[in-house]
Amino acid sequence: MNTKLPTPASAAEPILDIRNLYVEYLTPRGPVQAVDGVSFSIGRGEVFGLAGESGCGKSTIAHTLLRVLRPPAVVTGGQILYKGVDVLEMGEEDLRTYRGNYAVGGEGQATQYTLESFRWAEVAMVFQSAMNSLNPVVRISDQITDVVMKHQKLNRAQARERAAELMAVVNIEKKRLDAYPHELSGGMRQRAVIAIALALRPSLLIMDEPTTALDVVVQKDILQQIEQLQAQLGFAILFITHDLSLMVEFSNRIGIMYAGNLVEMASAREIFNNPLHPYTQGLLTSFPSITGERKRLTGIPGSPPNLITPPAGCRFHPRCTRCQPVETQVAPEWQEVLPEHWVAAHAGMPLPDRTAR
Amino acid sequence: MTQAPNAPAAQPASPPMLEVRRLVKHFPVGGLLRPRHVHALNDVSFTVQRGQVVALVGESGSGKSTTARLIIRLVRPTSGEIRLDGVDVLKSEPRKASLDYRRRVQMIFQDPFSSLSPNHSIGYQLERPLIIHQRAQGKAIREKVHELLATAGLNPPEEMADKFPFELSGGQRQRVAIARALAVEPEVILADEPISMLDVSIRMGVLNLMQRLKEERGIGFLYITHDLASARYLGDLTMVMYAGHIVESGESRELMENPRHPYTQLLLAAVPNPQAGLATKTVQARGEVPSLIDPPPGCPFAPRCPQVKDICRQAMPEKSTVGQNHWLRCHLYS
Amino acid sequence: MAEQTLSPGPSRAGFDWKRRFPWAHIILRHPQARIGLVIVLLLAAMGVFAPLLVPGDPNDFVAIPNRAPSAEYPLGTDPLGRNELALVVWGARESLAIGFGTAAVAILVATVVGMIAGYFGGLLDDVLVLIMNLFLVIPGLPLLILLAAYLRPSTATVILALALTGWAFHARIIRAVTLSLREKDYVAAAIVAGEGNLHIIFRQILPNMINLIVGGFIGTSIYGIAASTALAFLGLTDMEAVSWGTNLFYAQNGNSLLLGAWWVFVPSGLLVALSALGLAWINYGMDEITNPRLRAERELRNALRGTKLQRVRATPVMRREH
Repeated sequence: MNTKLPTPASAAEPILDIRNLYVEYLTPRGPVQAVDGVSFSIGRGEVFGLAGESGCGKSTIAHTLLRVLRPPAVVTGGQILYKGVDVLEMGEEDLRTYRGNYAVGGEGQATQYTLESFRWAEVAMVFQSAMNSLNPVVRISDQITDVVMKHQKLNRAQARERAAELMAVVNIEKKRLDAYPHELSGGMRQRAVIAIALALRPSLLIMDEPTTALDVVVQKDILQQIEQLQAQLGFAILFITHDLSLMVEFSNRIGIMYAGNLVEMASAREIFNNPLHPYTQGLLTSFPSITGERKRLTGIPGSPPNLITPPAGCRFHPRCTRCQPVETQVAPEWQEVLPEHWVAAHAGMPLPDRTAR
Repeated sequence: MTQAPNAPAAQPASPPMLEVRRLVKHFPVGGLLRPRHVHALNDVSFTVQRGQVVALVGESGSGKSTTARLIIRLVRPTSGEIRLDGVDVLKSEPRKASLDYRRRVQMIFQDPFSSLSPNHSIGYQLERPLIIHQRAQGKAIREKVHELLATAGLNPPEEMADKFPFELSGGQRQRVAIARALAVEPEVILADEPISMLDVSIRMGVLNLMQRLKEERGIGFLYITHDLASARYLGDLTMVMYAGHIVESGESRELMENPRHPYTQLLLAAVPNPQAGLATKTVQARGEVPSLIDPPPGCPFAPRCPQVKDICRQAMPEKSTVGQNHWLRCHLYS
Repeated sequence: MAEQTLSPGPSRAGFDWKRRFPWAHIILRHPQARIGLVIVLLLAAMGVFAPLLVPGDPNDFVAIPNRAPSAEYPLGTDPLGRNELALVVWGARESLAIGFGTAAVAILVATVVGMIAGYFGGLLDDVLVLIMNLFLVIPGLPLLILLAAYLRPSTATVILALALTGWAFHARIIRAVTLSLREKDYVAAAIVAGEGNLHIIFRQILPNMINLIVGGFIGTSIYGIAASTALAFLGLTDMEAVSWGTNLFYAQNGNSLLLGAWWVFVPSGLLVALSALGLAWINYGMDEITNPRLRAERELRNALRGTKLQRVRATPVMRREH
C-alpha cells in the first residue's frame, strides 16, 4: 500500500458535507440520542475512516447517509450535503417506479436528485456482514443484473455483460458468475457484494465493517483490491470499523466517535502519532503490536454509557483519567486546535506543544 | 537415573502439565456408500507447562477450535493422546471425562453473550462448580463466590452476584466466565478467542487479567486466537496452525521477528501494522484456504505458497528445528 | 484493574417479579392476552362454581321439552326437558376438564419424549422420532372414533384418546428446540463445569422452553375442547355426562335446529368457540415471548402512535431544537 497523505478537505468542494447531524431512536423508555451533533466532510476520492466502539453511532450515521434507517430512528436536525444537495430534503419517490439514469434538472438549476436516483447511483453501501445477507436462492449474476437493470435502461444481455465486467474488476473468475452465494467462500462473497455496490459507479462508497468477519489475509487482499479500484474509478470511501490499526493503515483522515459524538478528527498519521483526546489515547493503548517493544497496555476501564441518559457534559468523563469538574457539566467544544486537527475539548484541556511534529 | 557430575540438567524437573500427542480428528460427512471425511485435525502435538501461555494462532478452518474442544473433552478424537501430568486421560477415562479432569482443565468460550446461562444469576452460576467439586460448603460458598468476583475485577462483588447476565456488558460477562473457570482452581485453562467479541477498549483488561492469573497462580493457558498481535502480547510460545496442522512453533517474539514458514510470513504481512510507517508490503499469495474434505497428500499450503517445490505436493514435511524452541514443517528446511 | 459497575442495578430489597418471570409480565401487558385470560378464568370459574350458580342435578327433568327462554328458565329447556342453563353451566366442567386434562397428558408426554430424543440423540432419537412420525401420520379422527368405539366411553378414555392423537405434534417441536439449545455455549460450559445430564436437562435447557411448553399446553387445550365436543356430537363419548358437546348431540337428536329452538344449541356452541378464542388470545401473548421481535414491533407502534412516521421508505426527518 502507498503511504497515505491526507487529502485537504478544503482543497476542492467536498463530496459529502455533514453538518450538525442529530439522529434519535424512539423507544418506549425514551429517545436514545444515537448521533449528537456530528459534523465532518469527505473530499472527492478521499478515504475517511470513522472509528469507535459499539454504540458510538458510526453505523447510524452510515445508514442515515442513505436514509435507510427505519423508524423508530428519526433524524432530528442537521444537514447532509451531497454535492451541495441536502439528502434530508430529497423527496421520497415511490421506489417501485422504474426510472432511468438519474434526473438532471434543466434551465440552470443545480442537479436535482430524488432518493431513488441518489441511492446506489451516487452513494452505495457495503453493509456489515453483507456477505451473509446475499439472497441465498438467487445467483450472483442475477443479483447484479437486477440492480443494474433497475437503475439503467439496459436489457438483460447488456446487464449481464456489465455484471461480468464487475466481477472481473473484483477478481472473481467468470465461471463463478452464475454461482449461488453458498458456493463461494466468505472472501469471494464479500467481493461480490462490493461489485454490486460499485455497479452504478457511485461517487461515494460507504463500507460498514466490511472485513470484520473475514480472516486477516483475506482482509488484506480485499482492502488492496479496493485501493486499486479506488485509484481506477476515483470514488471516495467512508470506512467504518472498530479496528483502529487497520483504519490508520487504510484511511487518509480519521474521525473518532464516542457515544454519539465526534471527539477527534485528523489525518491518519496525526491521530496515530499525536492523539489529543483522552479517548483516542486510550483506544491506541488497546492495540498490541507485532513489532517493537512488548509494553503493558491497559485499554480503558468501564464500558460505553447508556444513551437514553448519557452522562452530562462530556460523555466520556466517567471513564476519563483526566476528568476535570467542568467536564461533568458543560459539553466540550469542537475546535480546530492544530491545523486540520479537531478535538472536542474544554478550555482548560492540556494540549501538547503546538510545535510538536 | 544417574547423571554425570557437572553435566547440565538434561530433563525438565517434572513432566509437562498438559501434553497433546498426535491428535487427529476426522468428521464424517455425507456420502452414503463411501463416506467422506473432513480432516479437521492432523497429527497435532504440543505441550503446555505450568505458568505458561501457549498461543494457538490460525484462521477460520485451521482447526484451533477443534483442538480446544478435544482437549476439554466435548468431542472425542479419532486418534491420539491427551496427557495430564503424564497420564493418558483418553485411556484412563475412555467414555467421558472424570470430575477430577474437569476440575483440572477448564475453558473460557468465545461468545460472552451465550456462554452464561440466561436464566440464572451470576452467583448461582459461580456456585455450581464449587458445589459440584466440593470446594466449599455452606456459608463459605457465598464468600468464595465474592472472592472469585473480586479476583476477576467485578466490584462490588455482593451486588454482582445477584445480577443476571443480561444486565452485564460483554467485558463483564467474560470476566464472569473467567471467574467461573477459576472456581475449581484449575491447572490449565483453555481460552477460545476470549476477546474477539469484546469492545476494543476492554480487551486489554481481560488479557491482563489472564496474564496476572498465570503469574500469580501458575495456571497454564492455551490461548486460541486469530490475532497475531494479541498472541504476541500474551503468549510465551506461539504455534501457527493451517488446515489442521501446526506449521510453525516458537517463542512469540522470535517467531514474529523471524518467521520462517511461508504461511507465517503471509500472516505477519497481512496484519495491520500502523507502526510500520504506514507503508506495508503487498501480500503475495492469493487463493483461499483449501477444502478439508479428503485433502490431497502433501503440504496443505502448497497451492498458495510462493516458494512451492514439487515435493511439497507429494509429502507432508517433517518437523525441522531452526532455533531454540523454534520448529516448523516446511520442505524448504528439511 | 477493576471494572467498575457504572450504573448499579435495581434495588435488591423486594423480590423482583419482573425479573424472575418476565414472560408472565409480558402476557399481562398484552391487551389480547389479558382479555383471553379473563375469558378463560371466567369460564373456568363458571364450571367450578356450577353448584352454586345453578343448584341441582342438570340431568333432572324440569319442564316441557324445547320450551323457549322464560323468567324461570333463562335458557329454556332442551329436547329432554332439562334446564338448558344448568346444562350449559355444568357443561363447562366436563368440557374444560377434558380440554385441560388432554393438554396436561399430551404435553407431559411430548416434553419427556421430545427432550429425551433431542438431548441424547443417536439410536434412541431415531426410535423416538419414528414413533412420533407414526402418531403424526395416523389420521386423528378415524383413530379417535375407533378408540371410542372399542374403549368403554368415559372421561378418562376420551382424554387418553385425544392425548394419544395430540402429543406427537408438540413432541416434534420440543425435540427440535432441544436439539438447538443443546448446542448453546452455556450448555457446553455446564458440561465443562462438571454438571450431570439431569441438571443440564432440567436446569439449563428446560427453563428456556417454558414458554414453548405453556404455549403447547394452551394449543392442545383448544384441541382437546374442540375435539371432545366433536366426539360427543357424534355420540361417541359417555352420553350420561353433561358437556357442551353432549348438549349439541341432544340438540341435533332432538331436532332443535328444525324447531328453531336456538337456545338449545347456540349457548353451548358459543361457549366452545369462546373458550377457544380466549385460549388463542392468551397464546398471542405467548408468541411475543417466543419471538421478542413481535413485542418490539408492538411497542414501537404504540410509541409512534400519534406521530406521522408510519409507512415510510426512508429515514424520516423531524427537526427540532438542539
